[in-house]
Amino acid sequence: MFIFMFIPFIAISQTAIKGFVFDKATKKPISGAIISMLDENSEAVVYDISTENGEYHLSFNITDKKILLIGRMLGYKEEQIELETKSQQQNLYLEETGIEIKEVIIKSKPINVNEDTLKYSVNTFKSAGDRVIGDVLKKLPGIEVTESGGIKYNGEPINKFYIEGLDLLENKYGIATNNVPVDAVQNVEVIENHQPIKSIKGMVTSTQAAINLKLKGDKMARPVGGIRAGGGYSDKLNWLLETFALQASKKRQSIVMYKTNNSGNDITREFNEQIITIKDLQNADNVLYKDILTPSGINNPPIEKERYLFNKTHTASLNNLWKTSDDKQLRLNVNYVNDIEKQNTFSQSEYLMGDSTLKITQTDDFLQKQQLLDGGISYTENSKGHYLDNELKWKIKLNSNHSQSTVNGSEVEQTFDMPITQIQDQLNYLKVFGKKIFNIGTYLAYADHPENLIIEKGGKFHKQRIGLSNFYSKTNSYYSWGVGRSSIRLNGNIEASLNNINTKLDYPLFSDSLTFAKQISHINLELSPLYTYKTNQLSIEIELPLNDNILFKKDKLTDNKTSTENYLFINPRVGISYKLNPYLNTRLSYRFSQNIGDNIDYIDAYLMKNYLNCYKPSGTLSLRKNQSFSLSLNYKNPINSLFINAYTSYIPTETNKSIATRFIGVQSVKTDISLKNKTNMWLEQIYIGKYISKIKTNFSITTDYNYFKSSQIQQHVQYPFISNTVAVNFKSNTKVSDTFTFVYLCNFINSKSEVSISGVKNKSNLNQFSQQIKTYYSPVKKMELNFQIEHSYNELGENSSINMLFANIGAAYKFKKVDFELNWNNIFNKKEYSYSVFSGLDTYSYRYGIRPMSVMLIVSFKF
Amino acid sequence: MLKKMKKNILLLPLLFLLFSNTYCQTITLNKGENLRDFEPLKKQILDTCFLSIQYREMYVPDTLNFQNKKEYYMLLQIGKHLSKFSDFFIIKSDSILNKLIEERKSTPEIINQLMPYRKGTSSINIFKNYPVGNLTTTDKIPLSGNYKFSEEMTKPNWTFEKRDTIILGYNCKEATSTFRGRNYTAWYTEEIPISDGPWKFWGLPGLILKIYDTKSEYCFEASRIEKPNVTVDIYFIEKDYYNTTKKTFDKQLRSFYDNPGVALENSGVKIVNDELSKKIKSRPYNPIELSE
Repeated sequence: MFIFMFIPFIAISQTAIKGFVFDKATKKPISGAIISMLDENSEAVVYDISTENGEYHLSFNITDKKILLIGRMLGYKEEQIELETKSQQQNLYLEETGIEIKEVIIKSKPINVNEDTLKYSVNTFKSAGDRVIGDVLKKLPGIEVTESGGIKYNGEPINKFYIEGLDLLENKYGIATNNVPVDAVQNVEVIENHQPIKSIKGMVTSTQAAINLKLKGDKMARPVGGIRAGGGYSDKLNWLLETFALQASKKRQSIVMYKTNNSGNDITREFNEQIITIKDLQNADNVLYKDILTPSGINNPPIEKERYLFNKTHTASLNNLWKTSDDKQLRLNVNYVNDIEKQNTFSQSEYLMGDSTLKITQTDDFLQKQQLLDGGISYTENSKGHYLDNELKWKIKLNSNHSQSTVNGSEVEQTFDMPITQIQDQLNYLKVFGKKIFNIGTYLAYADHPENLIIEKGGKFHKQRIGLSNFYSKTNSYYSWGVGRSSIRLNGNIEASLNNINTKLDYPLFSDSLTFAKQISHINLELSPLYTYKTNQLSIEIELPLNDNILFKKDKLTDNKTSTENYLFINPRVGISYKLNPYLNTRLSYRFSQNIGDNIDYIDAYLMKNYLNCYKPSGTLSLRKNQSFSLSLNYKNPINSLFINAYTSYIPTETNKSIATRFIGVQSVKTDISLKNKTNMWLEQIYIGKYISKIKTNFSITTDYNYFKSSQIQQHVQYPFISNTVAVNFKSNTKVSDTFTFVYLCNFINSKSEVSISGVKNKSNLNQFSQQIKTYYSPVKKMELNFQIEHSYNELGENSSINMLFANIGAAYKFKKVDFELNWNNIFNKKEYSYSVFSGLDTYSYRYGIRPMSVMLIVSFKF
Repeated sequence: MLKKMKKNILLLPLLFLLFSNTYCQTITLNKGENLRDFEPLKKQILDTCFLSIQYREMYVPDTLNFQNKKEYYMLLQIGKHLSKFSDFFIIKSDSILNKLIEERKSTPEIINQLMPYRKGTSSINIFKNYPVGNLTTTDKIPLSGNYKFSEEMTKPNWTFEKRDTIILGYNCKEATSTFRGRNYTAWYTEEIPISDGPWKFWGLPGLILKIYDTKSEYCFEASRIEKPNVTVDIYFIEKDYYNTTKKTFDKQLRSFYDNPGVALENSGVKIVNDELSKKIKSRPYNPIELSE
């Protein structure tokens, strides 16, 4: 009872004032008004903020007799009401006055227009194992670096590689990626959307990025570089020596390099021409020479190159750039490669011969020598008004290839030579008039590349000679305009080439069709309109390329008459992409294309391609019709980190020719015959990726399915065949911490083939499985350890299989001026690698000699 | 025969010169091949801004590298019913973009004009009291996409202190609070009776002009107060948002910083070797919200 009496007393001492805030004129509630309550000393006691319907609520506990209620809101006159201290309902009416406020502006910083350059400090990204700048580039967000030193940014190749703002190496920048010491570089700059041509900056935007290396201040005045030397032992002495020097000043730059090794490092690939523009995809080499003869030589088994490369390589490179004025520069590059590679293989091939099979067992000792001297001299003017670039390039390449083989017990020796001489000039001129651009580009090239093959069999010599030279030119341009969501682009393209081909065979197997000599001129005109329609959800592309091929052939052996052929094709393409929702995208596309074969088709003489194969093209151009239907689905759910991509495509192809194979002893002779050949191909791919953050692991699984249906003619019989391949690839990558990474990979391939022999289906089946564990651990900052183990199981035929195990251990330790690397490779000392493949009707099994266990210590000095 | 051949050789370059003259003269710059065309932004107008406050936001992205500070220029736009807190330069570029589209400018031109504004900006948008009583955030996770989530308008529990100061000519009072894992000191002015502030801060009897956490890892300071003299809309941009919760968003953001390589790989960039994926280090992550 006593307690109950007290409760109302306590409740009374807590005062509550509530009410609503209204606009005095409109009587509408005001939200966000600040209602505060002051005591007799004008001290704020409590406050509230009015809700959406203008309501406020204050409760407090004071002894003062009177209180002051204040309602305030920006844009309204402050309202004050004096009240007695007791719980009550009190509405407030505020009078609108308009906003009176002291406007204050502190001048904000100017916007930095150059902010599309991302600067990365090398020091933050480098770790103990890093030696050259490529090692650091790999770690920068969005950057990929290939083995040859090529760089991609956000999946697209970069368009320039600068050192201190100058383009010294052009498309051979792999030399810098793989050799510039990490310690010489202060910052790596990624220049996004880089337009290298000054005059069209701001007019034509590039989607490609450029890389610029900013050297450390003290490294600018003197040359920087290093010497790297290593020695080790496997079954013989292994060595490695690399020297590199870079001098970069504002006016002049140079790189001098020499490298050599016999330890299985492929140092020739850094001389690869990197893709820097889309146009480079159509490399001049592809149009200028296509190898006609295919002497068997060094093969690439599906394992890492370091394991099977037996080499002795020297490379040297000299690069100079002079900046003659602000906008003008002259550049000279010269490269030299001398490479010897060896390979020993044992192989068994089985060829279907009607009721029986032909078995060929062979051993080959290959020796391949390559000498390359290439270079270029270029002059560039890149000013605000115009752009002029002329580049003269040359290439001398001596390829020779020798093999000593036994084929089913008999000895064969083969010698092959292919000296290539090539010279090309590319001129580009661009001028800007207001908002229009005039652009002209010419490309001229000449190449001479004879091929000579000599085979010695049982004391007799057989010879094949081929003379081949081309002159080639190309130009391309486009004009485009847009209307609303649509745009039309007209692309014009012209190619012209003049080719001289002659062949001469000296081989008693054939009595006629031994020589050939023709001059072939080829003009290809292409005009392709492209229509695109785009909204945020839907995009449609329709392209209708009109392609005219005009060919003039002149027979130089007989009548010297010129005959003309003309092929006009329309190769339509339609693509539709639709975005259903943020998670799901689809794309449907169709393409029909018709194209002609190449000049080799015109050769109507026998060609001895190597010691096992001869080939006779039909003498007329082959025609190919090809359709492609494809559908892709892309599901991306970042909320639960699930990513699924599915792709399917169906490609029927029809050729007006088939290849017929017959065997004369172990010698295969292929001839082109006029018989339609149809192939059907079905491809499917599904990728599923899932990241589980709890265990910091990313899982991915890729499944590929391939269906191929065609027919092959062997010993005058046509055999229809179907081949199926299923490949499953699983990968998990666990990043335990920044210092410890664990990767597991496995790969399963099943190949099936089905051949119909006189109506009876003959099936075969082949399985391959491989798995790999890789770990990287860095116990202290200066040190990195890595361990790798790989297991593979390959079926070699029926009831025959092989298990192989490889392991490597490596350690790197870094001091201030000297670095040490110690590698112990192929710990289980495996000496062979074996695998089998199907190809249509035939089966091939290979056994390669690989590098045995080796230990190598490498010391690097920097200057 | 030789004569004839020479003629042929001469003919070829001549031919393509002719061709190039007809076809390659003028290239108007309307359409980049790989560029996405710009669509006008789908703006949903929510309110009219009657006061805008620019804040300079400074923060330390990596607590191990305290000297390295990043900064954004953020804008708080206050309307009658709600407020929006977003990057000042993004708002600028939005208005420029719509103007450029109206003027039918080409995609490359648009990109060039917008680039300076978009670089180094913050992608966050915070809408207070939208929907009523709630706070909506939209933000972007690199390589992943745009996210949207709502949470209740949690009022920080403010304690009033005795000190005062003058900021931008306004008399300010001090208040402190612990909010989502950090201790803050706020300076607010009763001269601007609006209970709002930068980021998710509000609930004081006046506008917050400066607020920083006690470890000095985050700081917002007003640098500009303006009353728009034309009508300025407070808008919400409709995009393909992933509608989610704050918890999921925080988790996603954390995994991006922990393992950016995975985000890169899942965005379609093929990571060729594991060497590389190993070397994509986790990024320092110092979020403003350290707890729920």
